[in-house]
Amino acid sequence: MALIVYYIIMGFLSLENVSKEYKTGAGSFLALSDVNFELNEGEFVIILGPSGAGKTTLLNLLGGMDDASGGLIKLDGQVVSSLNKKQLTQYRREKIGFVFQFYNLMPNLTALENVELATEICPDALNPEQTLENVGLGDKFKNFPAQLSGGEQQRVSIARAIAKNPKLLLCDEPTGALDYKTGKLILRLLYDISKKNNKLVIVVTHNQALKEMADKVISIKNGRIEKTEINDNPKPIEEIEW
Amino acid sequence: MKAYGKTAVRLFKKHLVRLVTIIAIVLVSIGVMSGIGELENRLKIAVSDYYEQQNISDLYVKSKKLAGFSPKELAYFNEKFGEENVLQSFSFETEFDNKITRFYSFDASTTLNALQLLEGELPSAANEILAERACDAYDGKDIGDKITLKVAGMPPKEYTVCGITLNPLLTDNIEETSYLNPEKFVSDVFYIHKSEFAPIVNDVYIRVANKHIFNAFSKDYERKINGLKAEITNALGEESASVLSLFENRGLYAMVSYAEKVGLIGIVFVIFFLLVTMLVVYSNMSRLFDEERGQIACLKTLGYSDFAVIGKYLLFVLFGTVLGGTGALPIGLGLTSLLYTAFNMQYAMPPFPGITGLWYYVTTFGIIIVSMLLLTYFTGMKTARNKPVTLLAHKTPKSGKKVILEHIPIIWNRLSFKYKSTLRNVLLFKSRFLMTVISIIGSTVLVLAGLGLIDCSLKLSGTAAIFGIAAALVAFSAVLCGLVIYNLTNINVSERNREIATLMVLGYSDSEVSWYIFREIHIMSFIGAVLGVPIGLAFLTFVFHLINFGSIGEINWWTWILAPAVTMLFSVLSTLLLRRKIVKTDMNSSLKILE
Repeated sequence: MALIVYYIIMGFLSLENVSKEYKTGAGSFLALSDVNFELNEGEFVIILGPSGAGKTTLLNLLGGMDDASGGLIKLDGQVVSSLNKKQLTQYRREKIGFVFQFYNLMPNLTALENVELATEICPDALNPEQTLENVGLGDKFKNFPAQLSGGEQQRVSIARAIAKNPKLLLCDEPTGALDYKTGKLILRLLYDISKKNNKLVIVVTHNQALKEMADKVISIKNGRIEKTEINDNPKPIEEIEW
Repeated sequence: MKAYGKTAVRLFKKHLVRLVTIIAIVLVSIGVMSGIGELENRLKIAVSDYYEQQNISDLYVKSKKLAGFSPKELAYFNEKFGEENVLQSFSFETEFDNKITRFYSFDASTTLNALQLLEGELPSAANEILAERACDAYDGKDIGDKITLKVAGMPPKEYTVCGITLNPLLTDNIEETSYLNPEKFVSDVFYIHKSEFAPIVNDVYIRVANKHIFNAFSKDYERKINGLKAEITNALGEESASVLSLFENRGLYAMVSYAEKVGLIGIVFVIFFLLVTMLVVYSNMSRLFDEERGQIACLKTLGYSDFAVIGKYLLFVLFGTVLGGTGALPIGLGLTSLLYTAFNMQYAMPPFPGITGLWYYVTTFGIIIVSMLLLTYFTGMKTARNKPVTLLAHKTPKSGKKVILEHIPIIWNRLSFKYKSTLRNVLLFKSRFLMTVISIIGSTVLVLAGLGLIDCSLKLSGTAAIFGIAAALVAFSAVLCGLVIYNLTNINVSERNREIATLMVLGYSDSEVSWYIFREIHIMSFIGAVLGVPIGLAFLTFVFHLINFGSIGEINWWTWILAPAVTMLFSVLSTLLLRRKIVKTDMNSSLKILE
């Protein structure tokens, strides 16, 4: 009982006073400071901010690609901010699904093989074929990335991320390289994943219009959290125009 | 131009490893090419200088009669060749205790076949004697040793060794066959003052040519000498005298004929080294252009001409080859003098002649610079001629095509996707695959050929010189092989930076990522190493035939395994060295747009 209470209070993903400092030749540069927020499973969250605000730095910390200079990051009870390099690899491997802006598919592997690339190293992985079918690519298993459209490639990338059955799905400008219509379809897919699979999905974007579709919106400016908004009635993506 | 200069400097910095490998490959390559190539010239120059300096006789006529040459015969020589060109001499051998000792008469007044005094002094008293140098072929004596000369029918006489000398006609380190008994060898050679002997002349040495005609046994010299040899034999009759030319001198002639073999080995290997070097630098540059498409497009949109765009790459190659080639000069000279020393173990060589000409160095350096600049220019222009739009679009990987194995589902379906990816990479990029495999085959063949020559030189006695060359070839080929593989692995890592970063984000461990990238280079190295064996066999057969030395049968069986094993060893070493580069990859590079 105590554990559940703890979760409710602390959230599934929580950040406390997180900061990140980069050492440069001239001195040091504070990319993030005093970052605090709590997020829960099944939420669709948007991290919003102009370029240079610290979005990528935050994404790197959440994704276990870099370590924080100060503060505490916890995911599902695990303290991420104190993991060493090897443990971070394990964390990325088992807990994180990552969707890239430019898909980052292996050019010489087929769609299915690209998904297998992730599932082969994960203990709780989902069935790769089934996952590809779920993202609407049931007939494209054997296609190479170059034989797929941008939207289809991003679907493969999403399938690769969710097939790991991760605790947290991180998406870096997932529609940044796609056209308007395809972008909307991809956002719908990500939104549905958060609801149907009860996953915490975090989308990083600079597109203000997307605010309306999220359960929570975290706005960053100059390395600090400007505000955190909660949408009680998110708008379906199809109704949002930009 | 200032900004352009900056991009050029950045190019050098960013691709420092490539630049260093180009420098190293050119260094090793020109070093070995000039070092081995120059040896034959150096040996021939040394022999010709020695010939002139010691005033070596071209013909040696030995009387078959006990009483030696008749006054009439001696008059014939003086009249035909001039007194100053004829040396009348006496020699005999004695056999005691199963040991044959040869004695020559010594005439201090003559300059023909001048003895080289190595230690001590020339005889000043009648009981003083000179001993031939101590070498593998002779027992050897020291200054102060007493020698007793015993001749049947005469009282024994004692002599003291006053000096150690070197006869220019006995430069060979191999045993000298006895006149008395052709099945035995002479165990010591001495020179006694001619006043100690009865006035018998049974040896005549004749000098007929000069340095320029001789020119290390030139064709002109051969014609001239063989003509004279026939003339003398006719005049004296075969039953009274035998005529020997320098071609029958085991020391000098064998030295030159080995030098010629070495020269041939040199040329064959120079061509091979040249080809491998050109191939490696070319593939290095062409892959660099692929990587830099974005930047080339950018400069083009700014209005730079095609030539200006590729100018800095030409500078890159020029810098690499010039630096490597310059550094190769001491390596080449050092190698030549080292190999010269190997010859010295076999033959009492004249001192190493100084730098008189660097034909091989200048030629190979010139060929490398010109060919590299041309190849870079043409590959560069091929890329730069494209429209900026085409260049900015990432060069589409030739995906979609299936490799042959995919049509055999029994095998293909059993492979893990890691192997599938590797096999597709290996088989779909055909030109890249071919360039890589051919460079690896080339360096494997060089190592194998060097090892094969070592085996033969160890089995055939008296080929220390060939051993020296072969050992140098093995060392340099192995270094080249290592550099070739390191270079290819480095390019592979740098090209697949994005794939590496993606795999790391996906949670692949350092060793899993490394294997994903290195499996490819290991497979290509394996193919190259294995194919290198039959090609090396053909190459060695050709070399053996060309230099008329050694045979495939004399090569140890393990050599055929050792050479490809060396290649694989370098492949593993290269990957171990470059693993650090992979581990240090910035995962953020997976997030950025393609360059």
